[in-house]
Amino acid sequence: MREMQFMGACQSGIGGLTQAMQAQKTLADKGISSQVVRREPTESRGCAYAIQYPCAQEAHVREILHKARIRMRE
Amino acid sequence: MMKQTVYLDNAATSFPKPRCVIDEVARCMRSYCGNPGRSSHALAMASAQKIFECRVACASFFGSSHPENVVFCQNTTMALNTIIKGFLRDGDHVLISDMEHNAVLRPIEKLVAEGKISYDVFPTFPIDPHTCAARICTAIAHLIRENTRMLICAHMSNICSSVLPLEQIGRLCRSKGILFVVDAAQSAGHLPIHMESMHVDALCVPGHKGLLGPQGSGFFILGEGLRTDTLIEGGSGLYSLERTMPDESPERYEAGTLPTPAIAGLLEGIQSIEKIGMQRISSKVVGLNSHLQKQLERISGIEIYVPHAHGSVLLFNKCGMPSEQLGAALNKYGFCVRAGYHCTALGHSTLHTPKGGAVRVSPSFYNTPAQMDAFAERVESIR
Repeated sequence: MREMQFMGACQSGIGGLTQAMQAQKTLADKGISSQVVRREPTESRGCAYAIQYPCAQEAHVREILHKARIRMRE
Repeated sequence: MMKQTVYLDNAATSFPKPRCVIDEVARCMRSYCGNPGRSSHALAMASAQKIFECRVACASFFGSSHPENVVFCQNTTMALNTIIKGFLRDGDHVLISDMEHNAVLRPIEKLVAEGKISYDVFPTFPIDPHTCAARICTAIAHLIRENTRMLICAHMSNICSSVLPLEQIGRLCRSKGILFVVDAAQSAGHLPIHMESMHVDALCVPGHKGLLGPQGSGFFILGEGLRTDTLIEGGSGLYSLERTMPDESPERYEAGTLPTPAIAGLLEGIQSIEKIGMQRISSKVVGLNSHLQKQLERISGIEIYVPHAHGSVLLFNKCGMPSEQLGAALNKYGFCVRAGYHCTALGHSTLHTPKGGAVRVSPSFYNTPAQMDAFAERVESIR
């Protein structure tokens, strides 16, 4: 996977890797670049996946993923 | 003279595989085969990306809008076991068709032996050339009980070319709140399947048959909003500190490392079917079997079962010769066919094949009419 760096990157937890990739594809279909990242393990649950995208797009990202019924965890 | 191999056992597994499938399996193993979902390093993510692309292709190919509901497993048997044992609860009643493979019959019988469920077999009338969807649905409706929770059927039989009307059966199941489970072991890659319009709740698919992928690339697709119990538990790379499997599909069902090379090959197989065209593949295979049927019908003492159903499978016997003996004799001349009962005792009983079963011929897109002619000539000459 190509590494991407965003200026002012925001992260949203998704959970499973497949869902995170689905989120990335959904955003790409709408012209938004994002990156799947593995999140630091939490003390209670362990590792999970998130997507990283430009903060400037945050509202748009949330709207797209909500419509696609992809749950963001925070 | 060197014996030429003529492979006519594609209902067991497709052979040869397209060059692109073989090349991608090798490329995966050479270039990017990390462990998907276990790390964020480049090779793990490359494997995961390839697997995700395959999920998207599988979902699209079978009319599902949910790639995350595509769950990879070893084969159709594993898929069916997961669905059957995951969904069924004590006291449930199940309906299965009279053509089911042991991959359905045996897990069902096990649950019956444990006193958990009961089941009935519904007739599909494959021997009757005038059977229709309405007749099958009427037979099903008569067997539905208050506690009927699941109906399982093979879309296409593995011993003849009889095909069940999924759309009508699916509609009936949906109207009665019954889970509709389809075994697509023989039809995937040969016949169109659209889960959402056919109301299929769980589709169980082999990667290595009609989809032209490697062995080990089976999967099932769950309908929207469905969640079942797990058949196996273990590492998924997700929420490792938790003691139970995660809720998220597909990771919930995919304990242990996935066979990335096989799945990468499966993606190529699906793409090659899309490139050639499923209708074109199916027409060629049906044409080969129809051609062979005409040749065999000219030979005295040949009995063809379900001769009115023209498809990718042809089942026959030669009078006075056990099927295994004929199969072994054909093998000596390079013809690979499968004889016996084909793990389908129920289906053989429905078709009234004799003791010892029958010989099954299942050609592929890569066979030729000349090979079918040679096969018929050899059947005739074997005494």
